[in-house]
Order: sequence, then structure tokens, then C-alpha cells
Amino acid sequence: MKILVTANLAPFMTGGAEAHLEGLTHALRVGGHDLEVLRLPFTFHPEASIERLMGFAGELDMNRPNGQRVDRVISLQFPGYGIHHDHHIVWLMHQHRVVYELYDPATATPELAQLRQSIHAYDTQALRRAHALFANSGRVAERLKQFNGLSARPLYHPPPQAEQLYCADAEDYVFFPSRLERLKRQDLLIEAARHLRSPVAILLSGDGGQRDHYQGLIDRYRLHDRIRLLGRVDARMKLALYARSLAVFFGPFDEDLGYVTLEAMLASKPVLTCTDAGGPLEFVVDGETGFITEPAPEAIAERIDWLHAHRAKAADMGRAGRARWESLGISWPHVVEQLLSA
Amino acid sequence: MPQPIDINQLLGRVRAEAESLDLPEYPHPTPTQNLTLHEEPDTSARGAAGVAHIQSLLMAPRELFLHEAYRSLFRRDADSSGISHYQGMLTEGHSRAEVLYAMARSSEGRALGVKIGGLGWRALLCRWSLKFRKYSPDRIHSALLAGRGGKLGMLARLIPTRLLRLFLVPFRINHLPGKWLRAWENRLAAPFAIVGQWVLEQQKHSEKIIHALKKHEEERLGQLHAHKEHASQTENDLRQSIATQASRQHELEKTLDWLRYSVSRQWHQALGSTPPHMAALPETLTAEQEALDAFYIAFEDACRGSEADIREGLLVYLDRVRRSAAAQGHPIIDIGCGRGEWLRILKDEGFMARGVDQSAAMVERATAYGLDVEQGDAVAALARLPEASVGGVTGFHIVEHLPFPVLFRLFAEVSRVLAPGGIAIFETPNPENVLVGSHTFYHDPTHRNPITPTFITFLAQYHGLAEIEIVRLHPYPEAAKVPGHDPLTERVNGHLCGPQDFALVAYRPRPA
Repeated sequence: MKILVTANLAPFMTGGAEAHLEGLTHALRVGGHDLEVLRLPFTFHPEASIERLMGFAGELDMNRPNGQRVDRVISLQFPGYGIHHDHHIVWLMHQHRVVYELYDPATATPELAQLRQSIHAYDTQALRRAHALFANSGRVAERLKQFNGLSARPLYHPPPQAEQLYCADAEDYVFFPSRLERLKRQDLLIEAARHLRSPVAILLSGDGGQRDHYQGLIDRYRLHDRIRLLGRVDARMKLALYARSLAVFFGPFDEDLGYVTLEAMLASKPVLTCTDAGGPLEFVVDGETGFITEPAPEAIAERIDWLHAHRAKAADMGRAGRARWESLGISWPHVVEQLLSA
Repeated sequence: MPQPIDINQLLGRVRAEAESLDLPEYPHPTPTQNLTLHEEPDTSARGAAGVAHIQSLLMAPRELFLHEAYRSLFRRDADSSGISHYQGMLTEGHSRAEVLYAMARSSEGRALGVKIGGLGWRALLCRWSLKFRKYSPDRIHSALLAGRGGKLGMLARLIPTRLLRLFLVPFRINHLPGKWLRAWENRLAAPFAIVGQWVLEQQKHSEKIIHALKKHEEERLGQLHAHKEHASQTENDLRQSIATQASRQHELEKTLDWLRYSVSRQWHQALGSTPPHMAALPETLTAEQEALDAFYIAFEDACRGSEADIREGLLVYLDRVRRSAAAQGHPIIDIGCGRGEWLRILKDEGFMARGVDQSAAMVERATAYGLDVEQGDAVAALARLPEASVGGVTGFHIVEHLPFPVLFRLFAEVSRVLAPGGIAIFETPNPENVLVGSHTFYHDPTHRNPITPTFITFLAQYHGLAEIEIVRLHPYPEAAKVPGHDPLTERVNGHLCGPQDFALVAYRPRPA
């Protein structure tokens, strides 16, 4: 099948979108499809540049470019999903957030307000026109429903390096990989460490704006011997950290999806999460593949102590998590099949 | 709070595992990792504060700087995550001083109590730079564009892009410490840079020389290998030719043996058909003869050893008889067989064995054991046998009883009756032992003269027998010897306590 994948390119601003796109293109190539990736140069400012790009995409017809047959167009981002094709499949990563959940009418400039109107109109029209509409996660589908009144089917995909995650005998530490941001709530785990009774270390990987804040907390509580901010770690280190952990903590606030939950399940590790964590709640089964606790340090510490005291049961939970992952049937071939059969 | 966790050890284990993972699609970001600039610093004080002087690290080549820094500050090899983190700082334009300062301020650096020497007041610059690192104008700009920054961000996004850039200009102040520190480092490192360049050139030059040397060595090794091969070929050839020579010589010797034998056979034709009688005593003395026989048997019984001793003494010859192919198919004749101890051994081993003895009493005894023994004159008995009809002729303590003409005829007959390859064994007292020659030989009144090895060897050769071997037997026990190993003692022991008997072993040659 000849497939055109569209996505944006903001030069040298890399993020999760890149990994997602790479995963998809790799899976399509492995599936034996003929692939072209069309990347639209995206600049956030000025508003006019977005308008222009939107106009450009909205007028682009990719049904038979230069007489060449294109069987499918798969789009991941705004404004690529506006490109015309009779069999256009949209797998929405997220919309242009500045005019959706981040938009505040009180402070918006006339230009932004104008842009918001045009984007809303563009999105509603383009997404309605799409042959099939998928969302990256349940949360993204919810927002689409809320703002555009459109229904999308959540379609989950495996995290990068899914095949390389492995499980080994647990060392005494809880692992929490994430960007060091307030919404990821590393402080919950740092505070929890003050209540730990068992000799379990806490390893936090990732970098971010809150690094100094979190380091300050560790300093203030004199937890150097127990907690370590590892900074950004490379692929190997990440795999090893997952593999040797006693459990993985992932308790962000209202996360969209969160690769961490999936990665921990792939590495056969129990996941500790919180009742208000959003995405992880779709995967973690309380008491079976991990624990869902109140977002309170004492509750989290108690669960960690329990896992340390019941290592065999912790390992069983990890295996149950892996089994749950297997049962969910999340795989790139499945994603490809869903996208292309739509 | 109980703290039995060693987080550094724990991390060390995880890091080691991570480094050992095989991920071909993620190229290792540190290709220079196995380069070592100098020996590992003394790590006996592991966990003690790492103190690094900044100047020593400014000299390190760019690709080695971080590895050096890890060794001096953290006393361990760098891991790829750490490298990529700090490499990122360098790429962003931070100075080495800032990177070292950041390492010292990291959790690991703090846990180890790492200190950076030589920074002085510039440590404040590092601190400033790291503190406000995240407020670099580029970072703020992209964060704002991506929709971050809350209410303030929202306000900032209201400003047109060009103005926003202007608005961010004050943040450029954050670049200053890095800039100053880089300038300072360049000033410090300038003299070293020249040395460094020189060292690099020298290194390249050395590598070239090493390469050339290696090539040369390989060539020489190749040549040596070829030489060695040639030499071993030559050696093989030589060995083969020596072997060929030896086998040819052996054949020649065999032929010579056969020729000698044939000549001796020619001479034997001249000998009469009736051999000289051994005793040649008048028939009238038969009664007296019987009395003498009786005496002799009594004497022998008194002097002979136990049956087991005799048997054991005879086993020496059994091996030789077994090895003789002729003895397998032809009878073995034991002359002067006495009670037949040897015949019994041969019989037990499955050989055809026949005995001849003059003494009627002995023959009677041997026959009683079921042995095939005839009474009569040995030489006459052999003379009656057809040529080449016997596998072996043996005689124990016989030859010293015979007058020379009879002995001569005995050997002639032995030579005639033996089949090709047949074996002859004659045991006799050994006169090389002075005590035997002067004393014990004369215990037996029927002994004539001691037979020497030299004489009997010649006699056998004369009659065409070959592959002659003299086996010396029955030395005095060690206890009887004079103690000591000096030449005189050795000689005394050799003459007085040496083998008391010897045997001639000879074979009839095969036709060449």
C-alpha cells in the first residue's frame, strides 16, 4: 500500500511526538508498505504563519499528486489532518493546545482570538471529513468530544523500546522516570521517602524545570543516601533501571497516557499510581498489577514498605502487569491493522 | 531511620548492567571510552573526596575531557547517560569550569564531597550560570511558544515576536559567565594547547612507527614461518632417509646371517653321521653307572633350590620362546631335562615340548609327570631329527658337562635341526664371577670346564646362529655386597657378587 504520513517539524524542538512518528513509520515499513513522510514546517509565532500553514494544508490534495496513486494518508497532528484525501485517517496526538485547553479569553489578543476561531472551524471541518478518526488516548478523545463534538476511538501504541524492556531480579529501589515537572509530582515520592521504614532507595530519572526544586527538597530532608536525581539517562540505563527496580512509581496529575505505566508493565514491574493520575488508571489494576493510592506521601510509603516486605508478591504483581499488557494486545502491527482497515 | 542502603553501589551495579546491554540500533555515544590517558588514580581511598585541579582537566583533549573529569571527580568510568548530559552542557556553550562545577554539585558529587580546586572567585560565576541556566533566552522563548508559562506566558505571547525577542534581551546576561569563563580557560589552556598539539603530533608519529614496526614484524614472522616449514620438511626427509638406511642395514645383516649359516651348513656336511658319544664308557660299567646316577640325583636334590625358585628362574626364557614364531609350530627339545621343570612350564603354556636325559632315574621321574621324555644321548637324539624340524633347543647347565668335541657337535646339530627363526638357549655357570669360576663351579664333580660368554658366543656364531644375546642371571643379593659405590668397591662387588649364571640365546637365521 502506498501511504503518506503527515506530521509537523519544529526544527530542533524534539519531544515525544518524534518517537511516536518514528514508531509508526517503522511499523508501516515493517508491514511492507511504501511510505512517504510529509512534514510541515511549524512555527508557533506569529499567528499569521499558522494561518498560512493551515491554509496551505487545507488546499493540498494528495489523492493523485503528479498522477501518482496514494492509497492512504495518515495524519498525526494539526494542521496535517486538513490535507485532502479520500481515505484520510487521523490518529490524533493532540490539537493546537494554545487555542484549546490553554486558551484564556480574558488575556487573548484579537489575533489569537481570530486564530482560535479559524482553527476550531478548520479542525471541526477537517476531522469530520476524515475517513476515520482515532485518538492517541482516552483523554485526547475526551477533549475532542468536549471542544469539537467529535467521537474518536482511542488507539494505544507501544512505547519506544518496547521489545527491549526486560525484567531481572529486583534491587531495593523504586524507579520513577519522568520529566522533572510539577505536574509529574516527583515531590510526592520524595515526601513519601521520609515515611519509609524499609531500606528502599528512590531513583528519579529525567530532567526539567523543577530539578533544583526537587534537589532542594532532597537536601532539606537530608535524603541523599536514599534518593538520587539521575538526570537524563540513555536508553540502556533506562532499560536496566526498569529491569532491576522493585517497583515503578508513576503518579502524575491527570496524565494523558503516560508511557511509564506501559513500560513498567512491559518490564514486569508493579506500578504505584494515584487516584487522580488520569491515564495510568486505565491500565493499573489495584492490588493486582500494582497499587492505586491516595495522592498522599504516607499512603505511598506504606505501599512501598509492603512491596519490600513481600518481594515475591511484588514480583507476582509485576508478572500480572506483563500479562495484562499481553492481554491488551497493544502492538504496532495491531495499530497498523486498525489504521489501515478503517 | 535505618539506612543500610549503599546507593552508590546500587547505581554502580545498574550502570554496569546498562553498559553491558547489547543494543545495536542505539549506537554507543562514547566511542572514546576505552581510551586511557593515564593510569587509574589511586582508588584506595574510595569514597573519599575527589579533589580535582581545574588546570589539569583543561589540558585534556575535547573528546577525553569528560572521561577524565569522571575519573578525577567520581573515581569511576563515565557512563553514557552522564556523558550525554554533560556533553549537552558543553554543546550549549557552557565552559568546562561550569561542567566541573555542575558535576561537583550533582548528587553523586555531593555524596562524595567532591571539590574543584583552582576556581577561586570564579566559582561564583559558575554558580550564577548554573542557577540561571534554565532562563536562557532560547529556552524561555521556545517554552513560551509551546504554550508554557501560565498566566505570565499568556501575557508574553501577546507581545509580537520581534518585541518578545527584545523583551528577552536582558536574559542574555545569563550567557556572560559562560563567556567569561571560556575566555579565562582559553587563556589558561593556551600554553597547554601548544603542548597538547605537540603531544598529539607525537602520538600520531608514534602510531605511524608502531604501525610500520608491526608490519615489519609481520613480514619477519612470515619469513620465519616459511623457514621453519622448510626446515621441518628437510628434517622429515632426513628422518625418512635414516629410517630407510636403517632398514636396509637390517636387511643386509639378515642376509649376512643367512650367508654365514649357509656356509656353516656346508662345513657340517663333512661331519660324520655318528656323533661322538658323550660318556663313551664301556657297557660293563653299567652297575657302577647306576650307582653314580643315584649319587648324582641325591647330590642334585641336596643342592637344588625349591621348585618355585627353579620355576621362577626359568620364566626369564618363556618370553623369548613365546616371541619366536618357529616355536609355535615346532617342538622344543630340552636336552638334559632332568625332572622336567622347564618341560612342564612349556607344556602348561601350550608348546610341544620333548626332553632327552641320560639318566634313567630322571626320565622315570619326568615320565611320571606325564612329560614326553626319552632316555639317551642328547647329541645322538638331535642327530636323528630331520633338518629344520625343531622350534627350539634348550639346555640348562649341560654345556659345562661336555667334552669339547661333543659340545662342538651339539651346536652343529642344533644349527641343523632348528627351523628358520628357531631359538637356542643354553644356561651355564658364569665364570665372570670369580667365586663361581674358582669355587662353586667345582661343587659338581661332573663339571668339566667353565664356559665363558666369549667362547660360547663364538661357538654359536661359528655354527651360523645369529642375533646372539648373553643374558646374565642370579647375582648375589644386595645384602651380600660390600657397601659403597667407589670404583674399587664397584669392581669388587662386580667380580665377587655379580651374576652367577648366564645364558646364551641365539636364533637360526631365516633365508634372506
